[in-house]
Amino acid sequence: MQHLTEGADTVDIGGRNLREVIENIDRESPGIRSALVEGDKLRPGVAVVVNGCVSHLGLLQKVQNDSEIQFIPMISGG
Amino acid sequence: MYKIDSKVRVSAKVNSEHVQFLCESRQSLLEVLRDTLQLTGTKEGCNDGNCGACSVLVNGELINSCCMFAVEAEECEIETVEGLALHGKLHPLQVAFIEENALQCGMCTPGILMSSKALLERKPNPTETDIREWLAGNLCRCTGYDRIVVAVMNASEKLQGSRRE
Amino acid sequence: MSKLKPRPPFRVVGSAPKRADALEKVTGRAQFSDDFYIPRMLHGKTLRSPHAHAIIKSIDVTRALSLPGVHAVITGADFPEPSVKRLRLGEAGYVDVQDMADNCIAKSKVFYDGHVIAAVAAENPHIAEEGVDLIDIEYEILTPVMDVKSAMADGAPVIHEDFTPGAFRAKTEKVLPNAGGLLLETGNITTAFSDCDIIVEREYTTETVHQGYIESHITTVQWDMNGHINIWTSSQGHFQIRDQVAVILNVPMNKITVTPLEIGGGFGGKVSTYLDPLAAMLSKKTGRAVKMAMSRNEALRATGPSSGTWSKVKIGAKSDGRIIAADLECAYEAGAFPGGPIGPGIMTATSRYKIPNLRLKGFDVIVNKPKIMPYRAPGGVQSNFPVESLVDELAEKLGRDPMELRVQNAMQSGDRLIMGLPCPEFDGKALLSKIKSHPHYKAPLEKENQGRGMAYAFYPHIGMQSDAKLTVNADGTVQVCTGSCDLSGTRTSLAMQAAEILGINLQNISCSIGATDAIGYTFMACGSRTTYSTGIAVITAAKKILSEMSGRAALIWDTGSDNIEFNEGEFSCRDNPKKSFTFKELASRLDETGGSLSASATVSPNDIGVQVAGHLVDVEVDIETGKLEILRYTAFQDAGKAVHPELVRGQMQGAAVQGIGWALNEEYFYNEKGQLANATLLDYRMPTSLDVPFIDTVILETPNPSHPFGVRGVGEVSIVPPVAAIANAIYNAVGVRLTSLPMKPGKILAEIKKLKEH
Repeated sequence: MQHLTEGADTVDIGGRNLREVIENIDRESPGIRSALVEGDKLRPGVAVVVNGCVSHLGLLQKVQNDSEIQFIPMISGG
Repeated sequence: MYKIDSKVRVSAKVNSEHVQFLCESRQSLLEVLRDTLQLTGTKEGCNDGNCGACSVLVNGELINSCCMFAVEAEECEIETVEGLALHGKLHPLQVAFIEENALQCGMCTPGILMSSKALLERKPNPTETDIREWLAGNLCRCTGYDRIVVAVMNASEKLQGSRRE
Repeated sequence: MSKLKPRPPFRVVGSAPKRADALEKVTGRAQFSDDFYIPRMLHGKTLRSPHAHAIIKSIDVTRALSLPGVHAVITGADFPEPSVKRLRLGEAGYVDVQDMADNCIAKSKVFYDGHVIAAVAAENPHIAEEGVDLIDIEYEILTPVMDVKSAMADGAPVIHEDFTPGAFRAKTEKVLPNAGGLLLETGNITTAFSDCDIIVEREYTTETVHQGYIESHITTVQWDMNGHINIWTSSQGHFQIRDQVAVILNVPMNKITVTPLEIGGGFGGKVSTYLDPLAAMLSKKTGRAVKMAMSRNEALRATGPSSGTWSKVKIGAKSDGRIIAADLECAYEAGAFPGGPIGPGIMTATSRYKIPNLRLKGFDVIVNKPKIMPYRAPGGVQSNFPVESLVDELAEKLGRDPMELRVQNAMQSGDRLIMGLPCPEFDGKALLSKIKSHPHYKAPLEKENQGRGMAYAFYPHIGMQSDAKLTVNADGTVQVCTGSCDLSGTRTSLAMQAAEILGINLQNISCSIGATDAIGYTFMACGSRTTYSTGIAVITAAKKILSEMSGRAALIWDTGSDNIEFNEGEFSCRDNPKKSFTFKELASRLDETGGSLSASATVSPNDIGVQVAGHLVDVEVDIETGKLEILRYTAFQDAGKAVHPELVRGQMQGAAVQGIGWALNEEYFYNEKGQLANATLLDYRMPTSLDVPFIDTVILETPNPSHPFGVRGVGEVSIVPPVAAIANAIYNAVGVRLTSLPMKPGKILAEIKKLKEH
């Protein structure tokens, strides 16, 4: 999604939970929210990793001051 | 053998027991073993003779029971996996399969056991190639065949050993 | 490195006891789906489209209904609107319920040869089949689209008017017919490639392949008069089957019970429902239980295979061996409905190497083939094949040993994966070194047309939710019940984990699988998660048991619980070691200290774990016929901690042989009408015992810190390396690089001829 952040592959942003984080990024780089969120949930097919662990709380996931967040395509198995 | 309406009465021996059953002429031996005689150990994998999951012995010959009509079983001696263990004692092949982890899901196992039995009756001391060639008609998707070949070799040694005693 | 605390040596874990279910399986008494029956049940059969792409103009079931012995006929019109649009599965993705419902039975359009249009319930399967033949359908046949390139071409027939492309597409990309996309980028490949000293680039194709489980799809369903639906079937996840059936039939989830039966192979292909909603509807209409079984022909034509693909891959390196850029574009078949494995396929394409500049582009392409389903490491083989082949080619051009080039560029824990993900704990370099130091690596090859090749693969394993319940009986024996279906012996490896914690003998523990109304929600047996995630649930519940039992001992000895120690199966009093109970002794006192004892645990581990494998293969190529023989095969894999090493070996060997089949002979052939031409196990050619040698295995153990014993998932990754390992071996044998699967004799011969002509 670097085309939305003018080429930056990492952004530093504030927020108490993922919903706020995404809204804050979207303010600076419009389009991020609609890429990641559908309705009031993460878009299907998007998983989120916080500090190396997959989150099961989606937008409700609380984050800390120096949390590291990555949005990745879903991982599955067979 | 005689007919009742559209059904045929067949007399045969299955695992050394005399049986009589009624079947339609279009039913395969596989279907009748499983549904009529309730010997569900023999499995259906493809129903057209290509996977060996339905392998049984008929008069000592290895047969894909899906490719044989039940009416052809008249007066035949049929052996299925249920007949391998005698008086509660497992056949050395069954023991070897357990010990060598020669099964994973277990679906191909009955067919491979019957096929291996037929091999060991013909070649008591098979080589690895003999075993692989003989079992090429039995598909296994889980194990990669490695442990199966080892199990058959171990069983052949045990059987030869007990023959010597 | 490892964050695990040092522990005493394992007592049970790491041993190889006999599997608890083996006896039933070698005597033919284990109950698989087709062995189950209900008295007076009817049999259902399906009418399937012979056309790959068509509109259903009319269906007339009159003649079928009047056949004596036929009790009911259903079509798509009998099914309600699904109750939800999507079933979310956490990080494992989601299911589009309308697509899934339409896949079970077509509504107005059919999308592949074998797509169900109607189903008949009758007294026996033969009459049901006769009934199927009496259903009259009128079709308007449409042009089928059968491969990814045609589907994405300008002017291609659009198969679904209403699908939405995926989340990770760049908005500037052209919207392609029939394709959703995924784009992952880091760094700047344009400048990076201009900095490279060596660049290798090729196009690759792979064909559609099937999981090939020996047991087909079979289910028995009874829709009770009080509205409760009972399903008896084998699947990889009975909770997911329950949920899928609930939303398709618009029935509350608590009104459905799924009882798992023994499963004859899954490999990812039995995670989705096919027949259950049909059998349920037939049961509702007839008031009787209905059993439905797919024939092998139907299973091949209509159940999810794994994607055929087209890819273009370019990799660049500096002369000192650093791989600094990779550009991968891979179009994966999604089959008739969107949702193929581009996510994991693209993410694992290069993840085992540290490449700073990457552009990984995936397309999820709808074609008129059955809906793609997971097949052991979904997407992994298709992206590993090009990358591992090109890394070998790069090594040759750089004048470097291919193993050393991989070690130089290997991703390790502490590095960053694509997307910035911290790389989970694993040791790829240790695995690669193990391969290099193995005797196979240096064993001399005897003939000129023999060659050795290797490939390296990395695939995540998932956590997800698992439930376990333990009960201690008055005689000291223990029952473990989990919600995880047992594909190949996990009941034993779970019982072993319980035994390890409880300090008792394995013979005193039995492990069963609970139906959906008997145990808590448990995610599917897939993603190499059972021994890991359900193992954690079992361990957690076992620890609760110990804690409770310590409390009971404290009660008996009139002391505080913190005064109780548990060591090697014995509870003792810290300040009076003469006071002790064995587990069995204390169990016999449970009744008088509060009653019997059970504990459960629900876990959802959320660490991303890594499976890693490398395979080494020697081949001989007959230059007259192109026939390839595998001379020697060694599979290396890191199991973290092998709970039951023989079961781990079995996974490695089975997966390797599936990969060999994928490499050499398996493919779906479609005729010009889009009908599957090789829908039998004769012509869909899976490996037999004669096609493969012994598969030697080497298990490494780099503990996974997120499991108390260090367990990593092991079931999937070993299917990934065989294809590229064999391709690299063929090059080393006869100097030709195969870029299309399967690498059958005709293709090898054609390449050899081309080489001779130059």
